[in-house]
Amino acid sequence: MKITLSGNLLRFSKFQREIDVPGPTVAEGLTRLCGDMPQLRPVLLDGAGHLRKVHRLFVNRDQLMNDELGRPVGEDDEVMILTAIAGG
Amino acid sequence: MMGEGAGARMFPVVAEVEGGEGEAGEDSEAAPPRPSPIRIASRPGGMVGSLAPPEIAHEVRARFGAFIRDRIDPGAAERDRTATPLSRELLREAGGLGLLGFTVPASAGGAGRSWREWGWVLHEIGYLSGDTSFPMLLAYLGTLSRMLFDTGRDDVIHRYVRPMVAGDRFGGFAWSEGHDPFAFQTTVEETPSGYVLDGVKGPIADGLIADVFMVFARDRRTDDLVTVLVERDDPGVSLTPYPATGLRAAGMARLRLDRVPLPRGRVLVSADGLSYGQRFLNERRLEMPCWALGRMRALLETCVAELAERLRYGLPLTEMQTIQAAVGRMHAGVETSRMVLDHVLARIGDGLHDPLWDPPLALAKYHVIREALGMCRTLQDILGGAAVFQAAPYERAIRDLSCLNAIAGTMLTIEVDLGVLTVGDVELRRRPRPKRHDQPKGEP
Repeated sequence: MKITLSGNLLRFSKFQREIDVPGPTVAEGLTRLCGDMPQLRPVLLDGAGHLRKVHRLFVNRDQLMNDELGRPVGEDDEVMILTAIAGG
Repeated sequence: MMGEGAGARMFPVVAEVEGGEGEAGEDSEAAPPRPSPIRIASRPGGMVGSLAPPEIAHEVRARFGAFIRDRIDPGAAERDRTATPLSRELLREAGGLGLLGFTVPASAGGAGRSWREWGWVLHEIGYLSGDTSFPMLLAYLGTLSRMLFDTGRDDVIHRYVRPMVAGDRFGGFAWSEGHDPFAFQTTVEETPSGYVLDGVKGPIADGLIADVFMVFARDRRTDDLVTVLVERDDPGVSLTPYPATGLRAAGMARLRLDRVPLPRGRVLVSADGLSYGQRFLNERRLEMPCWALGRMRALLETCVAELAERLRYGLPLTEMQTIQAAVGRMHAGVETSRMVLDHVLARIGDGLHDPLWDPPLALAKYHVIREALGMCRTLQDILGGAAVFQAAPYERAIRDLSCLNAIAGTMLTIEVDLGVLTVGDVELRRRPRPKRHDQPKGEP
């Protein structure tokens, strides 16, 4: 799958916007991504390894909820992560 | 900053609720209750009195009007001049009136009312109160109590929520450090007996008033953001005033945490505190424009009444086209803000909003505060010295509203977030929709 990052997240991927990762499911792709880019891990995942709720994740054009990350994906699928965070 | 002049008005001069006292004849007594607060105004120029439905506006005036007029407003100028926070006594009285737990369920001492109703109540209080810090604090404290209630923990409800709803204790939201949350420096570290906390947080809107702080700190072991509760008299806690240019009666402060020991029970959220904090900020982005729009309404009405009394070339200022255009611009700001808020409050009432970062809700803050800041500039343009030197109602309110540029996400941050989401949305729509890999073979 191809994972696309944007906004706040880019500085944690050294401004690499699109990253190809293997993985039969979205969840495994995210784990692989965080393994390849450890600085992304605390930003994307919480201490228990779950995707933080502030991120919106889309597979192709479908938004996935956090309990749907087991969805199977192929190498042509595109995963986009969008994040909006405001200050206090 | 000058004191309030003899001619300064503390209260709106056009304070009738549509369909209420003084205007009862404009709406038929037999008319059925209107389901939506959006209504065609009977006033010339499309001016609508209140964002709130008439029954809520009347409730606010009947239950809280005298308290605001007799207890809150008289000390507003002095509190602002000296940056003195609203007293615990006044806030306790507000708690006694049911204003500190409006959306908290009755099982914890609250009123159990809806968020939608609360938005309207805040709007009406924002209109009535000459002290902008008052509705700001009500909204802020109410959201904190509700968040603590929603933990479902009996110990938290007993120790914090019930006293907070009654006005016996007050909460503070210790998020800001001047960095984005991925760069927070405040840390929490596990010890054999619990945790120890280090860092500096601020500004905290009501830091000088708060008894318990909801602190967001980075776990040294997991690097994740956790949420803990810190009490004012915990060892190692110190507070220093953080006087702002506006909202000076809120009690803004900086919180210093030096090796603060915490028992394990003080951990509120042990993972993804980032998302938990966003919930507070998300709600704040809506409650703030509710009461800010009340202030805008009051300023507009007071300003127009004053302009009608001033003479230029033998005519009231309100007869000049430049003034009429300025008034029209402010009216457009108030009315479009009301429409935006009405839509968002209805969305919340229908349970359609994202509790962490809701784009329409962020837009509500963005639109209303932008209009409020525009109104501040217009007031200064057309009122001249009165808006700059006359503390009430203009100069102080202008400083108060200007502070909102930065709260719950700066306007620039909101623009960036909306931009990122919009670009992403367009990009997603332009992509072809491939077949799902989990789709059973043979299905279309």
